Amino acid sequence: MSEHPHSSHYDAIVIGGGHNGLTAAAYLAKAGRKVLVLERRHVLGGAAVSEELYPGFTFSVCSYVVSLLRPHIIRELELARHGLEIIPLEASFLPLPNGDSLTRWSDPERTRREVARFSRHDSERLPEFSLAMTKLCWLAKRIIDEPAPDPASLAPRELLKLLRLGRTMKDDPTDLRWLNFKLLTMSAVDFLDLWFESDVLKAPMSVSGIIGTFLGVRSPGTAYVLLHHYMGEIDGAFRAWGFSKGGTGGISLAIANAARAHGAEILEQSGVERVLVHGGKANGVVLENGDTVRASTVISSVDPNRTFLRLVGEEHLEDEFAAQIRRYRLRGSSGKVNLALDRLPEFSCRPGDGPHLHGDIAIAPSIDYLERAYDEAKYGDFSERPYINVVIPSLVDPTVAPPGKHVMSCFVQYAPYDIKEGPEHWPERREAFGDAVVDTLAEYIPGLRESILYRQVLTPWDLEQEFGLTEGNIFHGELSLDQLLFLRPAAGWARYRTPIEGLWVCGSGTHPGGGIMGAPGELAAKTMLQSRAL
Amino acid sequence: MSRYDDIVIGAGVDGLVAATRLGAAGQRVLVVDRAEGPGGRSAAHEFHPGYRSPGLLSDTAAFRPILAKELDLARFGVRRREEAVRCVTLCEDGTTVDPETSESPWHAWLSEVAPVLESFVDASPLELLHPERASFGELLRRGYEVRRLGRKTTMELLRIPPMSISDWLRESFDDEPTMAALALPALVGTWLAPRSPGSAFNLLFDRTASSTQVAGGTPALIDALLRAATAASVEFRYGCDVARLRMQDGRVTGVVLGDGETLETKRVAATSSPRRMMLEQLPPGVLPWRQRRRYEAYRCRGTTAQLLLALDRVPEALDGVELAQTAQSLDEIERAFDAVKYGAFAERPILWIHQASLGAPSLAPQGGAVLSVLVQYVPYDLDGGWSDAARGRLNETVMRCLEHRAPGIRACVVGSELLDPTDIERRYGLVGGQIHHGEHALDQWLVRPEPDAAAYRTPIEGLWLCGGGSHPGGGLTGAPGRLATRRMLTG
Repeated sequence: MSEHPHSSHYDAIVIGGGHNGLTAAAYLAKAGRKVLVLERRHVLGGAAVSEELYPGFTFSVCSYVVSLLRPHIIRELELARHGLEIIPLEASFLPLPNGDSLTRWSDPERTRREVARFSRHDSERLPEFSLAMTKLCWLAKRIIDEPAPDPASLAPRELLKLLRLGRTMKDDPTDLRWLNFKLLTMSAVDFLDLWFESDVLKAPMSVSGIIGTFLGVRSPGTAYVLLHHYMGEIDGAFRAWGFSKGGTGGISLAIANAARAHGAEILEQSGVERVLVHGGKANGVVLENGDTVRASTVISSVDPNRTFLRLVGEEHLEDEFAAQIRRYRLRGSSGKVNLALDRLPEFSCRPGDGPHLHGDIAIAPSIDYLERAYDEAKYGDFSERPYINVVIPSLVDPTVAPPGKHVMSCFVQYAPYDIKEGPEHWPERREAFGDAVVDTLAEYIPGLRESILYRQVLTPWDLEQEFGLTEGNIFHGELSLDQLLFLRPAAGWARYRTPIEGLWVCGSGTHPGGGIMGAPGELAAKTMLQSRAL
Repeated sequence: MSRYDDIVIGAGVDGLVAATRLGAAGQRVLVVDRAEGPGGRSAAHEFHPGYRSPGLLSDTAAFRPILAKELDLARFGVRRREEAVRCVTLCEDGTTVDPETSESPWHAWLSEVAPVLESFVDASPLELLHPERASFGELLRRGYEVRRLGRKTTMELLRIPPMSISDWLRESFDDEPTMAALALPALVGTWLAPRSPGSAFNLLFDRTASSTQVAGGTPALIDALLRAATAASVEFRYGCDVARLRMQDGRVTGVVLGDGETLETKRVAATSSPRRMMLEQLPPGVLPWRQRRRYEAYRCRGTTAQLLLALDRVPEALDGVELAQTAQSLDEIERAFDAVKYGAFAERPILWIHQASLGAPSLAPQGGAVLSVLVQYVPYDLDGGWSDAARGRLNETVMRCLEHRAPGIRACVVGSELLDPTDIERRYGLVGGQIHHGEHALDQWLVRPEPDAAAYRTPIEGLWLCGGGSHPGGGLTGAPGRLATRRMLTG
């Protein structure tokens, strides 16, 4: 084991070069700390990564659209100056098996006209629904932009904070309070039933409630994720989702550039083998190549399971804390299929190019369809007819594919990590899973199979092996109420501190959770600076 | 001047409790019920010569012990059994699994928190969405009660309710029949399955809010409550359906019966389903649209059918078994639930079996037995609708399942009655065939039925809700009737 040449002059080491690790590093570096970021793979970005998988074809390999990246982070880290460019999605397109389709546009009036073709009633309720959701977003924003409250604390400061959160509710009319409460507890479908009647509208809307979870659209607790669709803010506009130019990795690279500009060092191909703990205190890391790097502060952006059970080791944890981490649920439920195409896919219900394709395309023809896909997964199979969310970024960003050719990125649910043969048998079922996805898509795009030049299939097993996401969970742990706020990742350890002195966490497995928000990284860094931890 | 101070709609457990308390406080009280006798969902009726049903809800373990004390029910013959009868699993191989025999940390933890949770069942609801109505002292006291259990337990009590039964139990158990036996009683009547988030709250409630059964079962309980009410000078009228409320100057002045007769009263305490009361029985235009929408959103999807069996002898497998269920794994329950999502009933339904005549021998002739089988999951809105043919298919499905668990049972059956969810709706006036006056789900439990009526008083002056559609829910607890009248009497 050899000491790293630059060892000991770092204030902090960040494990993992994903967007949260980089955000934490950027904030710490900006505050004048010497920071080293260690990334295991050869590219930065973690699950927010772009890779040229096939010559000329660049993919957002995992995460593929962005909406929740906190606007103040973009501002404070000057990400636009460091290369961040977001291209807004224009529409959300739903092809239907009967040859019809529904397109929801970024222009609400246009959406209303389109929805009216299916239900006049629903089209009339749309503005009311949007208004309600916009109002509901304000409470959610108050929660995700601050460290988690601690309801079991007896400290006056904490009690005051809770009281203040309660107060903000005081001015809301009863109906809004009621909706807020329902949003947190209801299923996505039940919640949408409050406004809408048409399956064609409710099905594609409800899916945002299940992304990355092992729940169905009718499972209680899935409604609040609907908010995410309304919380996306790009240039201050609610409801906007977008592509990052050059793929999602562009976001990570912009943050990395900001961090470097403030003096942070970032090393790729430097996987961390374990965290050095001495006398209950973290004081460095050992790399996979055997090198040791020392620093009095270690910040992990990888998921809680990996951080505590593998990098730290149970021998350094108290039993109760270790038990909490062991029961923290990750079970991934989704996969990804990336296709390189030699021509534009032709949807039989709406052939040719058009703005309806310049957004996301959902294979979610009915609520029962989605629910059946979930039922299959519950008992350990991938869905034969899954929910698929497709984007074709090459239509709006010519840098990602050769002229005339296209990249098609398909998010697929459900693909349970724990298939009945056992997760390690995923490699044998990988191509069957890929076929199920292509077959499903081919029902809407008859010529798809012939146009595929390359196909990459990522099962939850692959997400774990390749990207270090335990059990393939894209959010570093399920986003269910019992694993959010003051319970993420463990009761009483939601403020980025850990029971190991000098070890902090800043990944999606901490408050406020997964998605390309940057909030965990930012809040962790700010908490550390505020408490003068380094 | 009104003839009555209070008219209580419904002579079920909650109606009887409410009427007795109001009567004992000196109010002139009339109870009206559409049925021909008392009991509501627990009313006995003869479904085969010599055999009586224990009612739709027949397990009396949830009846609040505090009520027996307050109403001095011992005087009217209410006695609790020494030991609680718990639901066992009837396995296909003829064995039974009793989940209570395994001394687990899970059980130990529950008994630690149960007293605090029980105190929440016996107290008025915290109006979560109207915190300004709560007294600060009350909030502090309740918070302190929980916090006194320690920081760790407090966190657990905040963590568990939104979880699913499956996730919660799997943290402590790996034995499927045990988990199934613990889970099923908490899921009967719900639109939830073991994997549904929030179902852990149902289990937490089921475990902490139940005590031992009342000796003599539902017939003894109803009989005692009826005598207590009579002793409190409560009057009764049966066989009269309330068509709507009469209102004057924005307040309730009476109830109009189906035949047009009007009964004058100062207040109405309704134990009927909140949706029926608020959406069908108020004069049109009285309820503002926002509130109307909240009642429309109050979910009442029935998932239960009842098969009553008159047996001339008891098959061996059921000998001495009072409460049993047939699921051997959590996934078996989950699969049975999957069907209702698509408007079908399960090919392998889960049965909750109550041999009611063991606890209440008067229900069956000597040597015979009465079984009440609640069948999960059976949709109210069956694809194609409920017909004799559909009922026949369900009957056969249930009997086949029973025959597997209790061989020879078919030969013992001398009479039977099957109630599908629409029958249950018609007979008991339960909207959607929902046996709990509204689904037991986390959101509908914490705020029941909607914020403005969550503490029994409705925004309609003089109208109170005091049935299972209010806190703490629609089991045979008697708690809504008790807590509502406590508020009614203190102003």
